[in-house]
Amino acid sequence: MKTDDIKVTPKWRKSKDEVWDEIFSDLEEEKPSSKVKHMSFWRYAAAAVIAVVVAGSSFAYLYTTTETAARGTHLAVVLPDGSNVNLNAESQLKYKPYWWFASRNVTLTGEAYFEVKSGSRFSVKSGNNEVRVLGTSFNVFARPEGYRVACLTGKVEVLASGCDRVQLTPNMQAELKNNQLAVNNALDAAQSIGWTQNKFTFIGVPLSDVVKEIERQYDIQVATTSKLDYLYTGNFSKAKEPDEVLEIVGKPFNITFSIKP
Amino acid sequence: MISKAEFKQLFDDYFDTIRRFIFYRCGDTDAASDMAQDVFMKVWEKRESLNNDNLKSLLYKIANDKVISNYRKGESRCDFEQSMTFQDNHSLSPEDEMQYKEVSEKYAKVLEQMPEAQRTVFLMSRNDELKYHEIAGCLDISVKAVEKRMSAALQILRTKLL
Repeated sequence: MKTDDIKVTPKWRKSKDEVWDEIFSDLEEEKPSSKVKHMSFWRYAAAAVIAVVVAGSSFAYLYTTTETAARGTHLAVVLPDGSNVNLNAESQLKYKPYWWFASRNVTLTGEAYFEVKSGSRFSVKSGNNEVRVLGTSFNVFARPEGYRVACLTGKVEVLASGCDRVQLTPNMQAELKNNQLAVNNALDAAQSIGWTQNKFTFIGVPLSDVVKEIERQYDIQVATTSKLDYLYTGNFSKAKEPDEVLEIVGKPFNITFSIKP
Repeated sequence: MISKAEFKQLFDDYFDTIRRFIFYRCGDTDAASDMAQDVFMKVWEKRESLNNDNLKSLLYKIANDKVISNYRKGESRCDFEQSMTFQDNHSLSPEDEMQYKEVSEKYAKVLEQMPEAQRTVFLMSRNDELKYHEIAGCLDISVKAVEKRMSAALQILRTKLL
């Protein structure tokens, strides 16, 4: 007997052909498994990217900054693109700082003077009314007493309650009266933003509105026994004390105002 | 890119060789079968990025990785005794048969005790009748290293068997 004849011959449970039939014969060439893995990786990556983009943009869309000027104060706001907004007393401005690149929209209640950097459309919404501009300066008055837009430079489009629309050029003012926009051509627009320099000019304004304005500017409550159905024309400066201002306003009508403590 | 036909050809040419190679290293038939299947499955999965040259050394390389990771798991048991065969089984006299049994048992024991690298080279040479330079090519080592392992294996067999 030759030891050379002793061989190591592993006894396989399955022959090569059985292994082939069982495992490899069904492999499909059209749908390569590696390709599937590859694709699914990219799909996951794409899904992740989309999720991040959606989350990020919805955050940007939903995140709102609110700037509020309390009674008796003014507030200067610089928007993300460098546009300036002066908020008058008791006014609120809302905007989306992270959505700013997509649309320049702000919401205003109260009164504000805008100096808009030129660029894409800039719109100011106040209730149902809207002002659209590209790059101008204008004043918006949007309070329960009324809605007024005065244009200082450039061109301003005012949309009221979704139906009416007028275009304003410098020194024009649109005012909402009985759901119609009335345009005033002969306006000294600088007066409408006098408040930004703490000067107040009223031309033919109901006395009650004047009093409300004074209340806002000094954060006071004014009491009077007289009727206020007069039209007031005049001006005053905020630097003065409120009782002094009230005296100036009331004297021509023989009305005395007192400040509620 | 390897087509299915080419893959089938590769499988026919090398499956048994690779399976035996793995068996020589781990000494476990079932584990060797599983690993050999894994090796070819891996080639199939990667066939997009492969071309036909040097597939043989790739097969050995994957097989090597499989053996090492399987070794880390420590699951396979070394058993060569089951696999011992004598070439002309029928022409054995009862005495020869006895002797054969004894020798083959010892032989298997020694193989199991032998360092894996030496056992693999020894069996590839003696059992598969591969030339030294072929073994060197498969294992990606030098012919000198094959010779060294071979002589070490023979030395062990000589001292333990005789």
